[in-house]
Amino acid sequence: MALHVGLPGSVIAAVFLVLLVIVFRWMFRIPPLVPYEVAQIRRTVNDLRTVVVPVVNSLSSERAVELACRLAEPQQAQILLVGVVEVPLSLPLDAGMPAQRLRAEEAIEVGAAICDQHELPFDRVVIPARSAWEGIVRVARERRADLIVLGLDPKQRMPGEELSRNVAQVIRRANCEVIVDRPGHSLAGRESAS
Amino acid sequence: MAEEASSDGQLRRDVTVWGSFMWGYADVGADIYTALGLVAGAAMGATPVAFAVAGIVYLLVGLAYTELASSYPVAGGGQYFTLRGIGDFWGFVCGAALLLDYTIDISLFAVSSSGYFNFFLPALGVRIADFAVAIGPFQGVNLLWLGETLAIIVFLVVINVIGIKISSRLNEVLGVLAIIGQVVIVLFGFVFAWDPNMMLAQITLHFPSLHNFMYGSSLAIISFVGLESISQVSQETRRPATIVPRTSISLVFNVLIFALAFSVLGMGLLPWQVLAQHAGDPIAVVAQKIPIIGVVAAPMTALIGGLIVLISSNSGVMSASRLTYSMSTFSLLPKWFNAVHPRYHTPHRTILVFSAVAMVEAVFAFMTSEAMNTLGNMYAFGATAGYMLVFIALIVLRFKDPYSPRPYRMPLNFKLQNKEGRAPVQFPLLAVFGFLGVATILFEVILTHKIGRIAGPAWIIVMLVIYFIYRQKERLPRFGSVKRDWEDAQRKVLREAEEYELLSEYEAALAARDGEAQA
Repeated sequence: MALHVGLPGSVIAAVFLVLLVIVFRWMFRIPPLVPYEVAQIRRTVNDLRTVVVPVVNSLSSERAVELACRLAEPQQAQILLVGVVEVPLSLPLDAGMPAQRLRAEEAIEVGAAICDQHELPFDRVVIPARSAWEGIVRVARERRADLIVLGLDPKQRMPGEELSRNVAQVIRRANCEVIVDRPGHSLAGRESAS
Repeated sequence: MAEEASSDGQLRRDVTVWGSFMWGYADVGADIYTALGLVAGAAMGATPVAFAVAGIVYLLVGLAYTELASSYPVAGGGQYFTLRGIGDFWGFVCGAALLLDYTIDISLFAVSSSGYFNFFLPALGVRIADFAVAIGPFQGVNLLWLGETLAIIVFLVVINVIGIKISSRLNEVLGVLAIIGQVVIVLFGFVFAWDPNMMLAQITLHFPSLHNFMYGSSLAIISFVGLESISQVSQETRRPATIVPRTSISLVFNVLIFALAFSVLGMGLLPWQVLAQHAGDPIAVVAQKIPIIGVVAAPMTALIGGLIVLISSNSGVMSASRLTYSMSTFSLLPKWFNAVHPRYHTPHRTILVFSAVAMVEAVFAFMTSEAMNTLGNMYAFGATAGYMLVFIALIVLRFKDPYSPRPYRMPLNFKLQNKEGRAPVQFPLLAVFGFLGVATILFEVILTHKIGRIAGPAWIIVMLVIYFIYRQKERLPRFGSVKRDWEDAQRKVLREAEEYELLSEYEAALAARDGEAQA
């Protein structure tokens, strides 16, 4: 019997074979099993809805915003950019402090640009307080934040202290999760140069 | 396959990816071996078009089952989804329709299996047509074929009552052989023998009347019936929420690809009349036509075809008893059906009752001289009636239970507000199209299937009488539903399925709902 190879039939046969291979390959690619404990832990991170990031004009603070955005991205959590205007005890709390307010707003603008890059929802808060930690903890409590991300500025540490006073107080007083980012040597070097 | 119980009385989760796929394939994959000749007899030159039309509807049914089986990985399939979505009464109606399908599944595939084995009769000098006799008013009753069919059903009853398992390995090996065989036939057939001009000529010169096309496309749906099997076995599948969507979608596409390939190949190899004449063994006839390998491929195909449809028939026996068990558990059928044989530990009553129904259906079908056509009629009715309710259940469950994680969702959803206090709903637009598609096929069945339109509803009515008597006796609501804690059941199912990520997602969703309610 003479064999005759038909072009249209060969094309259909090839398409048929390719489709079958694609379907079977996809079927056997099963994602790995997630143990119960791992699932619970993943859930705690997935549950993040509001992340507070205090901002000042520093590289470590901007990096904290970037880190917060990356944590918030999978579940599209809201970033709360907080600028605290520290009012000395010698002045009433509602004293204007325009220069400090302006600096806080400038820092927030930089943070907002980072949030925009990640296409994340964000909000701005400028709050007067007697000390930075007090303002941060208050905002986190009022806005029911799930997480505070702090950028640790190495310059602000007191000699012999591991953390600055503000960071230590936030960790102690906040009723939500706190992540402290201490920049590595390269970033710390750049920060002191700037 | 995985019928052993674990120490806590639960079915052990032994079914793997391939096992889950093969459960479905043993049922659906075998359908084309039966359907091709039947559809060709009705849709004539437009057979591939009829398969394509039914295939689109089947695709939507497949996606709906994928969503539901992965969200609710329990035995019961369509009946369970409907019960959960729209209540006990409709759950029963869906179960009754699917039960009709399983009994037809037993008889139709027993007929088909003997049809493929009859392929070898001419080599023994026997002509199957010689055994057709007239019994009173009934003409052309083929006694040999009927006898073979009844013998196969009795054989299946015995092995299922005694509890001999057709080993999963045998099932899987046969499945692999069938797939390889089909692939070889399709590839060689298209490359060396397929004639596009012949197919085009058949489509243009032998296009059926609208009535015939509707009949053909509604029969074509039977080549896609059986997805239920994956749902039925999802309770025994490892990590069902992860695996079931993959195996279901793969099965849907595989069967669709094969059905379209065989119908197109058949029309380019043989006149549709030949396929229609060989309704018992159409794929073997196609294989026979392929040059060189045809001599070997035809008997091989007949052998594999005969065995794979035999397994399909057996899956009908098992699925009927599983479905009945589920229906009894939810107080839709008397517990009498669930009784386990004291010696063999199998649900013997269910097996005997529904296999006896299948035998009656087979005898009845042979009296009509076109046995397979008659059974195909009723098969299409049961499937479409059941699928319609499944689509409604899917839509209702999106509103009633927006919290259950859905590892797979039917595509094309839009957000809608739900009742106060409930999460917003992703409304499945494609499910509406699916419902309309299945409703159209059911309409075609009622319009064109002389037997299906009477026997199908009659079956449902008889079953409803049993349902009402039972519910009355047990003082349970006839049209209403028994109260059940679905949330607790869902937690249990997900925990047992080791789908911890989904369990934690489900618990978080419920906690968020409860938190909002308190606020």
